[in-house]
Amino acid sequence: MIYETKPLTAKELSKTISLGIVKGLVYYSIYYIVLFRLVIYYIIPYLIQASGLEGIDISSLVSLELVNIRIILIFIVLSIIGTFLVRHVPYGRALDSLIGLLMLYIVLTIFNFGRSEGYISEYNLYYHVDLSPLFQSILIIIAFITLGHVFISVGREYRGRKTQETRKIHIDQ
Amino acid sequence: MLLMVISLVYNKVLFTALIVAGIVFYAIAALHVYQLVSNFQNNILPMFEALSSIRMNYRIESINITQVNDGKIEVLVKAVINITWDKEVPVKGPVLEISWMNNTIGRIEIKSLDEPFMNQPLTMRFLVGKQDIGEQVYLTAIIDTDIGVIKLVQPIANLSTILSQTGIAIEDIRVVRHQNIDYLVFSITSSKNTVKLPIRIVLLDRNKDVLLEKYCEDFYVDPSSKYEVSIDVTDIDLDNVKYIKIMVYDAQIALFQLGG
Repeated sequence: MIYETKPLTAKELSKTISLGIVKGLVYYSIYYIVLFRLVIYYIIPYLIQASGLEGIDISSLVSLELVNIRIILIFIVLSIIGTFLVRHVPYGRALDSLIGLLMLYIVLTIFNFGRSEGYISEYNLYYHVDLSPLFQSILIIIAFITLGHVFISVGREYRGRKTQETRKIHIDQ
Repeated sequence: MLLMVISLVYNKVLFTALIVAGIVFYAIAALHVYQLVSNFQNNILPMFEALSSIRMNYRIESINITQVNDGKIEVLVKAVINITWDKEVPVKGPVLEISWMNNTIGRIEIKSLDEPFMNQPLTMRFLVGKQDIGEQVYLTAIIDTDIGVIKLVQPIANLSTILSQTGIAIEDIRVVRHQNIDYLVFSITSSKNTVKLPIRIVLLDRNKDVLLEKYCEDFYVDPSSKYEVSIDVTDIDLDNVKYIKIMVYDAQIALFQLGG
């Protein structure tokens, strides 16, 4: 891999911004749409039904906004910052993975770490579901993976940059 | 030659330390994944499998109603609870709570799902004011797991329904004529419960319209003693009396139909 810090020219910056927008949308669909749907349409209904209630249509209880402009904008801004770090700042790749972690944290905060409550009129039943321990452990797992990735990527970039410099010196000579 | 130059320039110790630190963090993450997965496999999934087949029934053993000071009545309900499920697993079961007017008045804890919860006594104590008689009694199931808490709250009955389970009966209904006044005389019995509080006895016609009411301040029945009632019925036509209703505050606790 070649570790190259791109110059801050208009061409490179516009490339950074467009890459950031695409990345932001990809992150949005993975974290917000996939994760959200998984929780709302599969995990919570599974747990409620496993508790002895059959045939509840959860989608009638929880409405999911597929397109949430505010979240999309947050994701795009963070992704542009991340892409800028990757392309224009030495060792920015490692910092970029920390921004990914921040995005996951934002998504988890938006749906309250899996806490939800409501009323099911069919059964005259109030429910309170608090899955925060599950999502906290998922967050912790992803945080450790991210940290591991940060250290390894810093290490490899360090070696790569030194190697490139050495090679350059060697060629110059 | 080139390779030699490279290996001399970058700090190998620093590089190795960074990679090792990364691997350590990956290992910690893997440990957490392992814990989560094994928790799901050993506790969560078996527990929900057992809970999905849960059945509960109860039998009310006795309901004792007494008047305490400041005009409130105390209702003591003794019930026997049976809870069964299909698959037996050695994990902690749910906690069931009976609550009334935001107070927990009864609690059942299923310590382990490896044997059915049979014939467990449950005592519930209600302290009822005059305006509280229509309040709902709620059953809350709390499923507490390592991945989160699920609480399901369902109204099961209101208090007047519970009061109507007292199982009091009337017997020996007759009309007694004494000094030119007709009295409807009967006795109220209870085979297993104690009821000690002021009640109202209401005579109703076939349309359940009130014909006559009598307030009994000193009402007391228990399995060994019955309460004699005599009501002056001179002013009404006895043939019209179709129902006798017994009320506590404004709640009906028993209704008897007379004749054919």
